[in-house]
Amino acid sequence: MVFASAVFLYLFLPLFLTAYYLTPKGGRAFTLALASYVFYGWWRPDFVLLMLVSTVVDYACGRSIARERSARKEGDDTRPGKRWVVLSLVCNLGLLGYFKYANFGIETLNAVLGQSAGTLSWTEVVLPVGISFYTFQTISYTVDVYRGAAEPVKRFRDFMCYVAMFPQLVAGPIVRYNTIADQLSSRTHTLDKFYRGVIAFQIGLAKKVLVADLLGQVADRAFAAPALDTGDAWLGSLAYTFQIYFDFSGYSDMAIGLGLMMGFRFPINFDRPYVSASITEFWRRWHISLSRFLRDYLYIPLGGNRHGEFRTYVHLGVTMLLGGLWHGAAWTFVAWGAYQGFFLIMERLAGKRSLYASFPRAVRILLTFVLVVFGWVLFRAPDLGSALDMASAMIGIVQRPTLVTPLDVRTIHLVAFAVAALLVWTQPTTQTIVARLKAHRAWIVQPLFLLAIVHLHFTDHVPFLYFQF
Amino acid sequence: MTKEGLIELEGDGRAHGVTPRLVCALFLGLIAATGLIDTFASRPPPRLLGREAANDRRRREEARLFDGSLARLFEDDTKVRSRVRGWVSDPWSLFLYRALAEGGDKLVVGKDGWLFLRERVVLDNPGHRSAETIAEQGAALLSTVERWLANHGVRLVVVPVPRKSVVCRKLLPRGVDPAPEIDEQLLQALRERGVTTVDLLAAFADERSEELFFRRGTHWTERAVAIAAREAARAAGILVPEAERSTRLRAVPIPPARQDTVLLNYMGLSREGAALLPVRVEDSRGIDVIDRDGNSVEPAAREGRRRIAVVGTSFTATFGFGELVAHFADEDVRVEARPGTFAMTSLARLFEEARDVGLPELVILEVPNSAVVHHRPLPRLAQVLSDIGLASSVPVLSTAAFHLAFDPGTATPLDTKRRMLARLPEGAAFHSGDGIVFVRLTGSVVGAPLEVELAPVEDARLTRASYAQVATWEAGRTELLLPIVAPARLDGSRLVVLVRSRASSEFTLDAVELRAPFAAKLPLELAPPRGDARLVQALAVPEEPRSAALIELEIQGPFPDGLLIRLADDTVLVPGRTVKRDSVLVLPLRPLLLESNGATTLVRDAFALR
Repeated sequence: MVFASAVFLYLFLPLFLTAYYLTPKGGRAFTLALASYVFYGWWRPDFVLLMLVSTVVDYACGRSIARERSARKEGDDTRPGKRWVVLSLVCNLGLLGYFKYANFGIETLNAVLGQSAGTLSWTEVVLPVGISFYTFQTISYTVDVYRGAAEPVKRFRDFMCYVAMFPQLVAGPIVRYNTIADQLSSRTHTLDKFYRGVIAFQIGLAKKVLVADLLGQVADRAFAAPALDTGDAWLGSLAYTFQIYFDFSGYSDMAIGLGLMMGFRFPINFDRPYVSASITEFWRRWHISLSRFLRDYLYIPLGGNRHGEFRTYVHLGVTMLLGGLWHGAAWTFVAWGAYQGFFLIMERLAGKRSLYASFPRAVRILLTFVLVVFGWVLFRAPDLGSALDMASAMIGIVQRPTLVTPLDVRTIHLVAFAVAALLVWTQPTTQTIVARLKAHRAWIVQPLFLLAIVHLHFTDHVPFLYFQF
Repeated sequence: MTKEGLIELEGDGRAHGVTPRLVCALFLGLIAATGLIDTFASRPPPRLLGREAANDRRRREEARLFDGSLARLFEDDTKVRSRVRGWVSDPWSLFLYRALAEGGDKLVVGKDGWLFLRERVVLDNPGHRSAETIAEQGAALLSTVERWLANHGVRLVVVPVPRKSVVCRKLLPRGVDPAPEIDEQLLQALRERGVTTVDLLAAFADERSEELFFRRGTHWTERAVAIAAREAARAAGILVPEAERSTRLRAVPIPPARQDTVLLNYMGLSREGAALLPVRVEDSRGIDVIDRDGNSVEPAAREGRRRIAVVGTSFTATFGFGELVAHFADEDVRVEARPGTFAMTSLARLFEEARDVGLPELVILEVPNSAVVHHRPLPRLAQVLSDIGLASSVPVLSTAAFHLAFDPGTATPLDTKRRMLARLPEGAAFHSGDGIVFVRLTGSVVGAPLEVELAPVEDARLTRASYAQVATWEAGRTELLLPIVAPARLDGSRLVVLVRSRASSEFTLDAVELRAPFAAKLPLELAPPRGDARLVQALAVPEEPRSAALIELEIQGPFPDGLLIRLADDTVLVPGRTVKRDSVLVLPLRPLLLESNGATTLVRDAFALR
């Protein structure tokens, strides 16, 4: 189920909120967990079982780590619970590896073997939605418990709720266990929180429906076109640059808003990333929950900056490569991670400054934005060849095949472009609006939300050519 | 943002004033009320027609909980039956249409409010096929149909319906290119293959394009239908002079209900919303066929044998095409065309009935060019040609064996995942690629129907050069024929046969082989060169032809640029292309070619179709 759908907005959400608030406070986590299983299993009920396996394994590992820690004798140098955290990592990364990367691995292997020794036959694995997010969350739980940064969860239903919680299940933010542990067992439900949650949800929905989805039409056509001229290549790339931000941040806003409606405070995920004056700054503002996760659970455990300059760059590079691969099982994502890692390393070499630090801030923002746009070409293109074609077109190297598909940018798309640019560079973030919520802002949001709802009805239309009502 | 990155909430944690209460009430009221109205007061579902109805029925039958198809069906039903959507969508659609020239992502809004289906304007062009390739693929398909019909003594006239976006391209938004060369090259490719074809692009050239298609629909107007019917009769040689006809034409207004405004619904406008838009004068102009007493003639026959039959889609099923052909030919016409179906479906129905009543002498086959561009008629072609069950015991063209992925004679469980069934290795079959060679599968199915696909192997060059054929294999069937169709000859290309079940089935494969049911080789007798040695005559007489002798002649190069190969009736052919004509062939050759190759080496084989 997705948020911007009739079945979620008009059936699931009202029913869930009714059930949630009718449940006594002590049982609300369980209600939320059950609803999350319905939400998650809506399209593939069997994948709920997979999530349950992950939940049970990590719950048991967490409890076992705590038990070993409490049984540890003084003078014992071994770190208690190590085998359990290893088991949790093996299970979680094994699941992620199999479901997300097996196809990619076999395809790559076949591409290599195909040159000489034939290929392996393979039944394609279907990727369960949200597995990248909930495996990271369960990893954060066992690692935090192992490190002593969090107490093991006491009630299984709280852990079910943590793993399955539907608002951020599909697209984040990644909620680390130690940041939310207290809220799982005890949180307040106030009208103020609910109200702020509604506003965050409404803004998120408007961002997704009125900006991201419209610009997505342009981006989809651009990246499917056999060839584009320079202008269209830039339009397509810019459309995707705005689409991914408004889609992803809109979804995060909706998740944060839904969380607030249930009394949770989730981590923020975006902080005006396109006003960054360097790639380093960009990564402090873009997908913040992932950046923090990679820093705390990958970069620092690898050694971080504790083993000299060279090793620091290696750790940074590895982190970004794996971060790229986390986004999707394709070489384009690896290349995107390498691209981002390259600039992060270069900036670190330049003293944690951008490569163009001497320019005025406005110019630095523009240059960083251009670098980010080229990065998104790698991220969005179906393969490296297409990415190269698109990037070539953007710098003026255009190849024309027999049939060129026109990009067909319409008035409504130009309006969406203008609105996107205005919001990105002049307006505060959703979390700022929600944090300092004023009545007039809340009323400005209402027509936007209604417009989003109306437009969603418009785009939801299922057309038929041959029918009689 | 807190140290942990959590969202911060300033203030004392209490909601002040009326705004929070009102905003929350508005939000909750809106979503809950929409849910309640759409659940307990939903709209009736639309009654679908043709292939949309069939697809909908199949979707409902195949909906399953565990693969998400049931949930998606529920979601689509919720949208289609949403009453609230009906209320809010009309004003918003009208605003977008009139103020921003926006019709949603499935439509292109042109000048003066003209609407076009986006998929018929901007090509979704997998494999980036060139216009020539698209046209050649379509022509190959239609010449296969002609081969089948000719083999049964039936003449075929093809009426390719040009795309609305091509005929009315001056009404498209600036910069939108519908690739009109596809429609032009399809005509050319059909003619080069000897298929009798009606050139409606030429016939429409002198008309006002605004009068030929409905502004807010997908179909042509009755004015365009009259022109098409007249040209079809002319091409078929059945056009009766006006003075000798027993009927006349009369201009009549047609009511709004008969005007095609389907694209308004496509953008989400209900009938009530559509009624708010002004009616276009051209859309209301109709043509009636009347008898000598001034009475409207009876609609064209929908069953029973007639000498002339019309098969096709909604373009000829509605808007009086059959009556108009009957008027121009001055004789009864059987209309088998059906709205919402593929042209090949109505052809199959005609054949099915012909088992009892016999075949017509002339079939007028209407095919929308949009269908050719988007491969649409093809899946049905394979089924049509195998369903009519005319394959007989004929010699196998090639002895090349398929590599089978399944054990013959062993029941194999199949699910919805596509699996390779058989592979024909490279270099095993050489043929003209226009349906002369079939892949014949024998075996049996228990359970859900199978979808069998004949596909080129995963090679980009082949993907552009040949069709993937799909046919359904239902329980009870023991044989399936899939014609191999490509734009040009296939010199030993590899092929794969893929199979999947629509749900769950057991499949027992007996054999996969190549068949050429109509192929029989005849030697060509080459007459000595005459005069300046530029003229060569080749003669072959098919034995006991069922139809007017059809010869498929293969001429091999190399040829110098600009070589002109001419048939006796002055049809211009492209070098190296397979042609079908009467058995007497005259090749005017240039001296250079004769000197380099010798005339007798040019003609290699001839196939007579019996």
